[in-house]
Amino acid sequence: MSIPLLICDDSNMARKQVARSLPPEWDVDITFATNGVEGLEAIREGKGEMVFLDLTMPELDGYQVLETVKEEGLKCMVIVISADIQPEARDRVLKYGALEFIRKPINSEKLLAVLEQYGLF
Amino acid sequence: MSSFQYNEDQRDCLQEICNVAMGHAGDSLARKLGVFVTLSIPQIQIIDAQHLSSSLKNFASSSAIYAASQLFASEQGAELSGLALVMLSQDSLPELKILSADSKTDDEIIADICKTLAQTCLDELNTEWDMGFQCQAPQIVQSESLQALCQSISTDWKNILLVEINYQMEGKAFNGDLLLLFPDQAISAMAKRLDELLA
Repeated sequence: MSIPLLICDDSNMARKQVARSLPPEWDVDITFATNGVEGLEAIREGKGEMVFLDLTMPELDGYQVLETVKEEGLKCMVIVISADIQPEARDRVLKYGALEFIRKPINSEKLLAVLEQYGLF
Repeated sequence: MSSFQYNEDQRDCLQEICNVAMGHAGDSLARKLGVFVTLSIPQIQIIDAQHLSSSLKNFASSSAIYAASQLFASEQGAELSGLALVMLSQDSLPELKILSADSKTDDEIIADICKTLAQTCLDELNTEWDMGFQCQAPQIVQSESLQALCQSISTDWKNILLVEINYQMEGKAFNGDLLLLFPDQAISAMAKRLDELLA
């Protein structure tokens, strides 16, 4: 059965970069969201068992999404993909419950390394 | 707004490239001063050069009284050139004086922040996008000279591609804008580069 995968980023280019970086043989059902509000809706609808989440977004940013996921006890695994490369940003998202942090720009090698590290692929 | 505009894909692509570059500059600032830098989404617009002065007033650091500029040009061709302008709000300088423990003059502190933000951002654009930008040394722009600088640009340029990146520091009164200004020939040259990336 396909894994419901959500890619949440306000940039169309960034969303495409993530989608292109996924292992081609990974059986996933991809949903796209362009901001945190859309992203949370998709997670609540069960479309984000696995979530790739940007931090700097309009409406609701990635930190707020992570906080809400925690507050509402939503079941999902979140990997943050962000250009905010401050060590403090990484520490914060891990504290808020993200599984891992990947620096933008994403590529297939970076993504595969994390997926393999956590036994997700 | 200028009559010449990037299409949505070009604008989105440039915004994402600037987003990554902005992150590096933010990290550089955070490490330098031991703070957490709050980033926002880079704003991309192409404006009529005559409207530069009024556009600058709309930015978050609109109470700007401190500014520094750095000219930059690409080693790959004269058409890829521009001006980086860092504007700081009034409250930013006292905050920076507390954070930077060394005894620098006001102008040195402002020039230093300009260099940290503009140079790091342009270096990352080079890495990501192979632009070959090289910066000149930062020049302090006195508040009364900002208007003159805008007028000089308006005379020489018709349209301006304006990239605004706002930086704030958590729990601090710092509010700064890094502006990258590109003239007509750079707007066209960069559109071609963006199309190549999007192809």
